Amino acid sequence: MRMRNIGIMAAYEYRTNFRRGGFLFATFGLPLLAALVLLGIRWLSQRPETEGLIMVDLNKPMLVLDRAGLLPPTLPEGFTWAEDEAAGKDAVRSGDALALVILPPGYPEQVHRLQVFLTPGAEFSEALNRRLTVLVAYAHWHEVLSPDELALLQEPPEAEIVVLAGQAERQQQTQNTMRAYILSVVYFMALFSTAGYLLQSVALEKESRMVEVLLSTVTTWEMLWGKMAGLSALGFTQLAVWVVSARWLLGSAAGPAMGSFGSMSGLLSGMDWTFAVVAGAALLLGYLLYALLMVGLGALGNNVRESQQFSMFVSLTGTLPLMLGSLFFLNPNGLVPRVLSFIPWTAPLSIMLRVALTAVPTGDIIAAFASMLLGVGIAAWVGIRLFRVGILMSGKKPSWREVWYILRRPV
Amino acid sequence: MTDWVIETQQLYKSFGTTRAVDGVALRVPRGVVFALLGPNGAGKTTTLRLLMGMYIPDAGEIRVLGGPPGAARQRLGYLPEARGLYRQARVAELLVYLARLKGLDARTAERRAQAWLERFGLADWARRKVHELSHGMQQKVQLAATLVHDPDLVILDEPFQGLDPVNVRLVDEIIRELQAQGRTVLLSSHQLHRVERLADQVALIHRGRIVEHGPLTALRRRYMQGRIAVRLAPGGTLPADLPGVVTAQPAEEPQSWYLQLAPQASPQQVLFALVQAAVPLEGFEVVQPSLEDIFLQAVAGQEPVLAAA
Repeated sequence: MRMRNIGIMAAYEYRTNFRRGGFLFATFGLPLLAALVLLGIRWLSQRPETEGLIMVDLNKPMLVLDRAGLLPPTLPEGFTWAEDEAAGKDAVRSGDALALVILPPGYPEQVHRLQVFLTPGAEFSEALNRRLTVLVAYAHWHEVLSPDELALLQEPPEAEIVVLAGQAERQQQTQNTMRAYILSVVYFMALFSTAGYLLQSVALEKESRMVEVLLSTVTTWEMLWGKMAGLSALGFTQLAVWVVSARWLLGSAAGPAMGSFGSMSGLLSGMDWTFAVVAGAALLLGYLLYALLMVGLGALGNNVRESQQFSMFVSLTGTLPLMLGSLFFLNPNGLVPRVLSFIPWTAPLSIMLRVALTAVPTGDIIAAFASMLLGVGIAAWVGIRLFRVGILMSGKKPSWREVWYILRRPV
Repeated sequence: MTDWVIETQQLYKSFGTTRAVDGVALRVPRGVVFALLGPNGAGKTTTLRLLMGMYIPDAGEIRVLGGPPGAARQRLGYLPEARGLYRQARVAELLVYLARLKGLDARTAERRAQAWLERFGLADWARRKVHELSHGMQQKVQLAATLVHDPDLVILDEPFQGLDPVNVRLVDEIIRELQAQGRTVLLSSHQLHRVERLADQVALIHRGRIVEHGPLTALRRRYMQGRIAVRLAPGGTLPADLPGVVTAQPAEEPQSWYLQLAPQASPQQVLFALVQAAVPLEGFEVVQPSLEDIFLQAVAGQEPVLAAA
């Protein structure tokens, strides 16, 4: 195997694919779009009228109009008499009151519903419902209850709220979940876009009918490693652009709008070394596994479309951990996340997610990596075999039975 | 001692139950134009792919340019039957890339690519993308890619396929130039009539087996069919009882006949008889067997498969 040929081939693959419109859009266009969206969010959040639209002060008084004659002259705290319906509505519109509550005539015997006029944004407020309950209870029981008992109605019952995890722990857990989610999406995109480039590149060799010219010039191994090296570099370039863009975007462009995740350093600060090592190794092994499979499957079709059909199964099953993300977030050490960690092509994403979310037993980590290593071995055997035979095949797309035959015969 | 550029012994290759190459033994001396001929599906392309090291043989031995197949890739130029180019690539850039893979440094590769583009009248198209070129121009680029690194051995699989007459002539010219430079050219084709004016030596392959091989002149002698073409002056008549002639068949042209000789008869004997009978001869030619005739005779008894060339 000549390293010079691998280098020339890798450089050519990198150069020509870098110039493709699809790559340029995905690499630079997506961060640009994200920047525009985040800058838009930031701009909107700084407009004063916007604050009025989304901010609701639930401590403002509620105006009351009692047409049923149920309430005593003195109202509980937080409630005020409205002069009339029109004045009450004006107060609500101007933001001086949270709501106008009208007890209609015949309430509650003939008419069962209160009328409530609200400020925008307060429609589904739990606080509002609670205050309405207080008002109705007050209306019903102010005659039968003593002043002390009535005073109890003015405030909701006190309760001791027990938080099982400490505040810091809860914050850390939330950060872990966010981090796992963001990283798994980035990881997934990096892994599959790079493997996808490989699949396309191999399929294109057949489609363009350049493959025999190349194989008369370089060995199958040189071609395979040349492509893998060039397109891996391309994939990692894309990843690097995304990470740098994300750092800039989250750190400066939209910081105020992104809360505690407003900076990349905030996102990465909670990352421990175990996670970094596991995620890095899983990314590397996962890439090798998918790349080798895609190289083989890419060689089976006569064109890019046929090759993509062959790779569909691998790609779909590879996304299982993301599709079943809720199971990982609920219980990272549950049965499904554990099983997926031991299947070679779902293991990279699964183990990375689990380690990001919780403490994973060392045995599970070892088993996941053993499965990935085994997977890489099998992918190398299958991928290279399919590549060697498939790359020179032409005519109709082979059936799965024929693929099985290719795997068993000498090449 | 002969310097063999290609040497194979008892070469076998099967795909499933189909035996594509069945005991092929080839010897191609240096500096000749060697034609591997046979109908479609005879095993030519598989044989070439074995020579290129793209397939591993089931059995047999191969030596190309003194080493195992694939060892001398940089001294070898290959124009495959299924050929194409990257449609989005720029012409000169693609040629430089292939030349560099063949071992040339960047500067030499650029110089050679430019020279071949000029040779084929494509210098003005160097920076254009391949898909902007006509079909004929793309074929010239493919040929340039085969030759850009000055190979010692050139293997052309069906080089005339899909070519217009102008490009057929161009390929003829290139092959003759390569031959004049002392390079070895291995041609594979099912178009026997196109090859016979170029080849020094041929091997006829049928169902994966070499059915005949050797220098073309020797093969022609061996397969001489005892036919003579005669043309008479206007008014002349062909005697009915020429000695040694079994049948006389009128040819397409007026006053012309094909004479089939008896096994022991010689052309000289017939010519002597015609002169003695004072027949007004305008033409007398011993008919050479075409490659197609030779092939048909060589596979006689086997299933006829030769497509009309």
